[in-house]
Amino acid sequence: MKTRGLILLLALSACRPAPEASAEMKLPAAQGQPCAVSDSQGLMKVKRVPAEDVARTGVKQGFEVACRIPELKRWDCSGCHTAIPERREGAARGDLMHTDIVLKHAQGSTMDCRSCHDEKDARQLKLMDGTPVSFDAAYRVCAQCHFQQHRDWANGAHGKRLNQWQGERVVLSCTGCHNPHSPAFDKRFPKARPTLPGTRPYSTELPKELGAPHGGHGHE
Amino acid sequence: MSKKPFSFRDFFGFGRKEGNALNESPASSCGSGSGCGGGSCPSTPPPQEGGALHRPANRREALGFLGLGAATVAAAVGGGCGKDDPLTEMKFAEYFKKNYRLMTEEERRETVRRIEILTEAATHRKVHVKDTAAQPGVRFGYAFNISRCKGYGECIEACVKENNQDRGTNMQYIRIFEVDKGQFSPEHGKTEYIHEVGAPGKFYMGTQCFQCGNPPCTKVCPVGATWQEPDGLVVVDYNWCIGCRYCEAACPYWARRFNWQEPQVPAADINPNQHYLGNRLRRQGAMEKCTWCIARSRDGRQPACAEACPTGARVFGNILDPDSEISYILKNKKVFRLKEDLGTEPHFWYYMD
Repeated sequence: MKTRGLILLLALSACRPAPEASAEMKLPAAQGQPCAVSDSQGLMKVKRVPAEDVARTGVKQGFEVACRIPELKRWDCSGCHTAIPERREGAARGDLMHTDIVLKHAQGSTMDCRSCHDEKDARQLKLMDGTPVSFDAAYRVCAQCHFQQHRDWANGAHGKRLNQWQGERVVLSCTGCHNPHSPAFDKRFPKARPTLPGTRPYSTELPKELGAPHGGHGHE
Repeated sequence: MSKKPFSFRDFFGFGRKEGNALNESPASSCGSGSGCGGGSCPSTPPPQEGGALHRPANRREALGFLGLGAATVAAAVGGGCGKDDPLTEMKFAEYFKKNYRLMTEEERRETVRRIEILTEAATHRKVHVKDTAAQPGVRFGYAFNISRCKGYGECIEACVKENNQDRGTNMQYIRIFEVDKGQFSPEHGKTEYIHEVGAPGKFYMGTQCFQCGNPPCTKVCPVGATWQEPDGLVVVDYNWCIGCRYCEAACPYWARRFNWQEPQVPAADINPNQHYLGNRLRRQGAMEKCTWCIARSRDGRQPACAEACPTGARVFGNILDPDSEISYILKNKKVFRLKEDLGTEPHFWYYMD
């Protein structure tokens, strides 16, 4: 019961509006001028991708990427973590708070929390060389291994553009579609097609909850 | 309305030289007295393209102004209270309007307004019908990543909702084929897969209208009711279509859909953002097709399918813009088109990571 109460407390503390939080923290994400883009995905905060982040991809024009921090349910992490705990050999997952997270990224135990999360500051990610990176720029972390996808993403052959084909290009970051802890897309039943009330075309026979929404949104 | 009894001589324009009802038609005000039976009328709008439209005669309008038996017309437009009722008058004008390509700006605005009012009267939904023209310097292209599509079908759902497709026959513009890896054509695939996707050993290939650069469907239309717009979108004038389905037979990609019955769209589900050449409500007997969401794409937005795709397998853009995403894909990725040997020049490319 104690743990449950703590989780509730966490969830409540996460309800603070994210942009203010990031402004208080003076994170890299708050330094740009985030504007909002409306899409089927809902209203999203975006920020400009600095040229040096995509320097090796041959991108001619700059573009904007949807912010990640407003999407995080349990932000701000430093409310609980002052640091990312070291992995203990043989420790059960239940020893950590994030019991819902199953790490299915890379093979076996290649990765753990601290492969991507900054052990010194829980509000940030880090590169392999220890450089801290904002959650809003998670693509920089992914690009270290997935450089081909990074190149395609920056040029528009991979990933998802929001809203307009014309005008300012706004894309989702890697974590907008992929769950970073389990990046492969889940198997699920295809979406039911709209039809008249009371009729049943073939695909409405499927359980409704299995026509689940997008992969990455809303996980922690 | 003529009070004279019906006369075949009047009907075919061989009646009195002066005061012939045909001469009073606003579309044929050349006053030569020859009626609209085939003489060259200087006020006829200049021919644009296509065959059947070149004829200066406008028989539908001629019939309308002849007052050919008020009962016939009233029955045809579905009204019963004569021409004085404003709605019936509107239906009358809708029934006898021109082909969209021959309309002036003014006439287009009028018909759009009439459709809005008539739709609201019929469905109690306020809709906005647009007649947005193609943007200059834009030729739309579409790319589909077969290594990313998982067959979730979100695109189909979004398409049906966006385009006000008939829910009665479950009409869908998009087909997603589940194909065994190793095969290379949707002809070996299945569209009705009822299991969890993406299944191992399968890949998914979506088809819809490819807005061909050399479209076979527009050439076979006997009445010029379907044509290609300057931005590449192949569209149908639903009011001009006679429902012969030649275009459906001509399309090698099975992209056209026919309304065998009166389309049923629940009023609450009607998408009010409509275009004259796109997702406005159709009628029984009219051909329809995917227009890459003309109501959205001409406003700079992505088609509903591309916006709804949860895997990012769909890329839409302007192929004339060298910096666009689609241009990058065409230059840098392995791309192929379906049935390329037919010479239809589809502007829809499949690509792989």
